[in-house]
Amino acid sequence: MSGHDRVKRQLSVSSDSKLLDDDIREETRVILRPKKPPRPKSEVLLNQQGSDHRRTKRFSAFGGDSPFGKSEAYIKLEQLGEGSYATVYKGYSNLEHKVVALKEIRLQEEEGAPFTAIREASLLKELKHANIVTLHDIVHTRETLTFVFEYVHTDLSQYLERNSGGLDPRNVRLFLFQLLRGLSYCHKRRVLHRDVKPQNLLISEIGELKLADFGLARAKSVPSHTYSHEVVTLWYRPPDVLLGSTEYSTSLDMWGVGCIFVEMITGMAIFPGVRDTYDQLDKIFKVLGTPTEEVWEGVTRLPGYKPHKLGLYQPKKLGLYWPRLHDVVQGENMATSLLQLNPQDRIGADDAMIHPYFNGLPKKLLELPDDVSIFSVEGVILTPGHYSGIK
Amino acid sequence: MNDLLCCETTAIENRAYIDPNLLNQRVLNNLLKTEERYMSASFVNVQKEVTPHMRKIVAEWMMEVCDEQNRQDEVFPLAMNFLDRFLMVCCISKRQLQLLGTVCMLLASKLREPKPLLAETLVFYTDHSITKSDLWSWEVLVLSKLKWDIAAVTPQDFLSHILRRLPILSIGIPYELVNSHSKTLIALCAREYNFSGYPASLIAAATVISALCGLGWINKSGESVEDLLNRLHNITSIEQDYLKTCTKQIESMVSQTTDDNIDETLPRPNEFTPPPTNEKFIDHESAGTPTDVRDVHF
Repeated sequence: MSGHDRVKRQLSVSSDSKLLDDDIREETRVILRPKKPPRPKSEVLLNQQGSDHRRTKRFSAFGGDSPFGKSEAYIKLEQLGEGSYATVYKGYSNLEHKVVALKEIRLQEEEGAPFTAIREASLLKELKHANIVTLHDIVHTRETLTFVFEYVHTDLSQYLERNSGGLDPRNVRLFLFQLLRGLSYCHKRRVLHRDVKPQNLLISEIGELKLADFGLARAKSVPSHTYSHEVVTLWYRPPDVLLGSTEYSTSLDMWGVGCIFVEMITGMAIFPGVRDTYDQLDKIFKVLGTPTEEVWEGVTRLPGYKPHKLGLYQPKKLGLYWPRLHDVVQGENMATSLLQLNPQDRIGADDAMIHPYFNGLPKKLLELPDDVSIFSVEGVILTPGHYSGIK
Repeated sequence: MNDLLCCETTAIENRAYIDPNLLNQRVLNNLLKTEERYMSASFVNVQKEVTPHMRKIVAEWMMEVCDEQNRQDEVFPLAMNFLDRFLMVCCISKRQLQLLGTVCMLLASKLREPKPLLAETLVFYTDHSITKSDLWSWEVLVLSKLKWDIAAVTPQDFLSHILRRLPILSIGIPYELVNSHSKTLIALCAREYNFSGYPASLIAAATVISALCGLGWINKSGESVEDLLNRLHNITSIEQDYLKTCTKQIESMVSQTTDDNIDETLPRPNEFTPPPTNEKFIDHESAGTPTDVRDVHF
């Protein structure tokens, strides 16, 4: 039983065993990129590094012999935005001599690294795709955690503002295809984005669209996962979730895609709810009709289905409501497939990519390797200039 | 945040429905392809003090904490995945093992659960032998060591893929029963060092075989064990020999565990720091009230 005693002591961690020694702390330098695994470091080397006082305060995600992971490697430029747990700066990488986006996350006294940050970084490590923002590096200090992302010059929200009145239908088709391509990749890897909205879709100068902000995303394995209920900004939130359905999945992201598709064509958010859930539902039902058991089995049993709070509307043809949808072949059809009230009827990302709406695009686009941009295919190019309706 | 509305209730957890988009062959193939990345190898050559036996003790403690805190089934196996992978790359002293286990639970919970475990609760379970500041230092250490690669594939991820592809209902076995038996077996495997080097798909397939045999598949289906092995082989492409060996190991583990349980009528050796008996805390927890645990001051 002497073994037992030893173990007993071992696990009764006493308070003097608190912190990492500096040696171990120094050992935290590891390389982020999966393609270049770090060489295991010898103790001797580690101790040498330990004598470098400038470094002892920092945990770095990159190797000790690598210039990555060091905060000096990046120059912080102007602030780009502020979120609930992070501030985003434009930055400059002294290593790669290019502009980057620095997402600086404050470490919390009460919860440590925010779960959103943990989810975002760990999921992005798994997701390497031309239509998903690239995470280059992670730097940590005692107080902050900085994610170094590729810098993409604008997002769809700003892009729509600059091109008011709707985008060129040819560009809409390219953006939609890329959005579906990114989501299909995520869904195949059992990741839901859960916060699809124009602000989270980055647009590069040549028109590449990249899904960003995976703070609310999560890897899922079906069906045992739990979700927090309210995750999507109201405007892009599907009716099933608004009605209190707790059973959402990939269809959650697809509703947002439908909203964004029509928004790109018309230039206006299509369901800009202002007050609450019921206002949001009212906006949706005015167009798509108030759902009944006939069109959506089980809808009346959803916890939020309160007939006295819901107006009674007949469904309309989307093309009548948004005539611009007729400017493009199959535009109305595509919108209808995406904006289905019943989540089970909503088209999936894969099927949407082969929808006849995309018939005009080169077939090659469906066979591109994950990390290749659609703009590498000949003839695929963003149409410049302001779109002023059909001639 | 104005446009976000919270109607979340704490009593019910939201469960994802069975989404065909997430159960198709491509998702399964991706899982099979990525699981290798999250496999661990033996740590005995890396660790100078920590032994497989100590791992088991800390694992049992972690399982108990997850259990008492009603954590999702996958939190414990995922935490063990982090722990094994960490031990593979970083030598620690045995005094730090419980701290490591605690951090792994915290990370697994943050990654997978809508309401992650609270640091305070975890510190309490270690009898305050670790502090929150230990947790935060080690959180970053573990993340770095694992290269932030923590969205790991676990046996649970394969479970529904496998179960959906077996005619369980038509053979007359309740689906939920197979599901829950398999999950229990997965947790028991995660506790054992022997299984730590196995791919997640193999653990999942073998636990399903054990669960089905335990629930009378052979009698009810009229199929032989070989037929069942063959079915699992067709789903996961794992060699039948491996499936057979792993299933046997699970069965002997289960019979051992059952034997151990008989001994548990004796007072249990106090191998890990037990939570202090704090009436208020225990009442609060067992009542399962939706009150925020943060309201409780220890």
